[in-house]
Amino acid sequence: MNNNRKILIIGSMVLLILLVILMLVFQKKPPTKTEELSSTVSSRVQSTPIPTLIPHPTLGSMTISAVGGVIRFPNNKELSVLISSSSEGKNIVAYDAILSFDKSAFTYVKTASQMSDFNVFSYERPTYLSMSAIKSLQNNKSTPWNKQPLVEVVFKPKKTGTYIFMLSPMGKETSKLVDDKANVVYPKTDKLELEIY
Amino acid sequence: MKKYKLDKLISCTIFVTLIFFIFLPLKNIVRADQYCASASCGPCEAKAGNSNIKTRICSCGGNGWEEDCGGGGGSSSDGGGGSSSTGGNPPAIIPPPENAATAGRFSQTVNLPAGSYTLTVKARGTLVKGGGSFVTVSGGHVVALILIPETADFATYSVPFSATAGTYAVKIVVEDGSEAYFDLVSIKGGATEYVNNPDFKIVKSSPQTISLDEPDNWGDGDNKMGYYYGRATASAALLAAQSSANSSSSTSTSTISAAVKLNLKLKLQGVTTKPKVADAIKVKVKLGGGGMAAATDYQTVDFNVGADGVWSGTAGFNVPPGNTYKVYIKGPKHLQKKVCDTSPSESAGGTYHCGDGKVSIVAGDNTLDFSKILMLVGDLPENGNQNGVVDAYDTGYIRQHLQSSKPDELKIGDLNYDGNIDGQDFSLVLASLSIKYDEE
Repeated sequence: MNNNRKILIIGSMVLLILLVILMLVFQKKPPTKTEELSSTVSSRVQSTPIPTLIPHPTLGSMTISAVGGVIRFPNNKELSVLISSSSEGKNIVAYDAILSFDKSAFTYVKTASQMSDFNVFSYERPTYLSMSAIKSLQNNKSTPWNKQPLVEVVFKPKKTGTYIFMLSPMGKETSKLVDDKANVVYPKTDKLELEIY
Repeated sequence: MKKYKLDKLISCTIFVTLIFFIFLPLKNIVRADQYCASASCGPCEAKAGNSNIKTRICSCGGNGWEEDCGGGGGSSSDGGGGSSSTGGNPPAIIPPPENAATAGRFSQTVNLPAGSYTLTVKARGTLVKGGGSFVTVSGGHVVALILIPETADFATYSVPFSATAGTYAVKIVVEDGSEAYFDLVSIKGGATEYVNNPDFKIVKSSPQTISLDEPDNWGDGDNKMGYYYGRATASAALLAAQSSANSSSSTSTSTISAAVKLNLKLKLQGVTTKPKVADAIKVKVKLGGGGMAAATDYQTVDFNVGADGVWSGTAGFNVPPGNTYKVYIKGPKHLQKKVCDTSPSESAGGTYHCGDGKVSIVAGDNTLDFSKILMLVGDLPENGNQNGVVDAYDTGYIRQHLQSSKPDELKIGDLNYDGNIDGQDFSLVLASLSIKYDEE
């Protein structure tokens, strides 16, 4: 009987210790691969620009793409994005491109006009890059755009993650095209998602 | 029997231990969900305890709870002094608030004829949390609002507003967690004061819930927080002391709004002499700084040009005199310029920029000579409106209307008012691209 009581006590203690160990293991278990991945993804900051309503109908398009079609880039190595536009037959003499991006993840390096007769003026704003371009006075040739590359923008990534570049309205500024009658055309715009590894 | 009791004791101990281990974490989760995830939960602040361990208090409408901040996460702005309700070092004559923060709301109904008014508040915010402290005038919707920031002393804030004839409620609100002293709440239209007992000199005799009197002529609300009124005190000695302090502090703070006239002189980029086709333009002018909660509305002022190309105009405002004003000038085809000095100058055209306002304004006439700095052109009106940015529309318009002399096009694109849209206008707008934005 005395032995039975001892066995009961020892058994109970072992059971208790096992339970405690189990609880500790469950509370402090290392993250699984899936959890690791999901926590990394959730820590990636994506830009969240606040869109401004455009009270005008859109015409034509202004798109953004990665040069060479690559959407994965190594960290700390410069990358380029290309802004192109179609003007639906209109002769464009000036344009604005408002490109929002995550400034905590990228450093703006430079812009390069892809049209020799357009001068591009770039302004780095707190949450976006504003580009304003004007056609040379010497060129009066009418050249409607069809997926015409306008400007290449070079960035240097600062950290890994997935990030979005958008040609979205910011504050008072909106991407726009100005035709040869000084009419303003608001093109449809899009966004580009890049992964930095 | 003894063995049976021992076995039972062991079993009970094991059972209780198991229950403890199983439910301890669950209890914490429930606590966090119930209180911390609440949208009404106020901002948490760190406070120093007896040891170096910091805790944060999450104010959730009285259901507050404490949790570890985790190694100094967050620190209070007052240096870890705990949830001090004084928010700093109040003047000796103002006793530190003793009561817990509860929204204090007082209201008074006023009947206003249609017209223009100025809401003036003299107050000192000692602690701003949550919704803060503020005064509103509303008649269906808010027509005037003054927020009370934290200040070391009493300050006077004014805001002009327009009202249609009707009944309006003037409300003094001190939201949960905020504390403020009020010495004046006034609505003036011309020389008429529309608020009864605006400076709280008439105090009710019967003590209120926190042993301080409530100013008379202010409606009894659910929360009788007469404590927040600068002069609504039960103690005659304290009243006298505070009155004295207020009068001495009035030398360092602004007084009630007064009619001021600004006689302004401007120089526009590209205009060096009296232009050929314009001798009068409309310019928008507004005032900021000066202790005001917000900038005034724009006044549209006619400016006339002299032979020297300097434009002169007069703007009228109803603001408290002061020496920390900023003047904002927005020409009809121009970027907005912020001017902080009475007689500013610059070494190169368009390079003047400033930060804090240093313009002195007194009641009556004020001469502000801004003719030694240039108002940059470039923000052209599009369908009659300017957007505050020199952009593709502005450059494109000039480019596409070069050599035009049509009156409608000159109205928009003739930046130097010489009767022609030409290369100079194009170069002017390109030069303004270096600034590009209105100064705010």
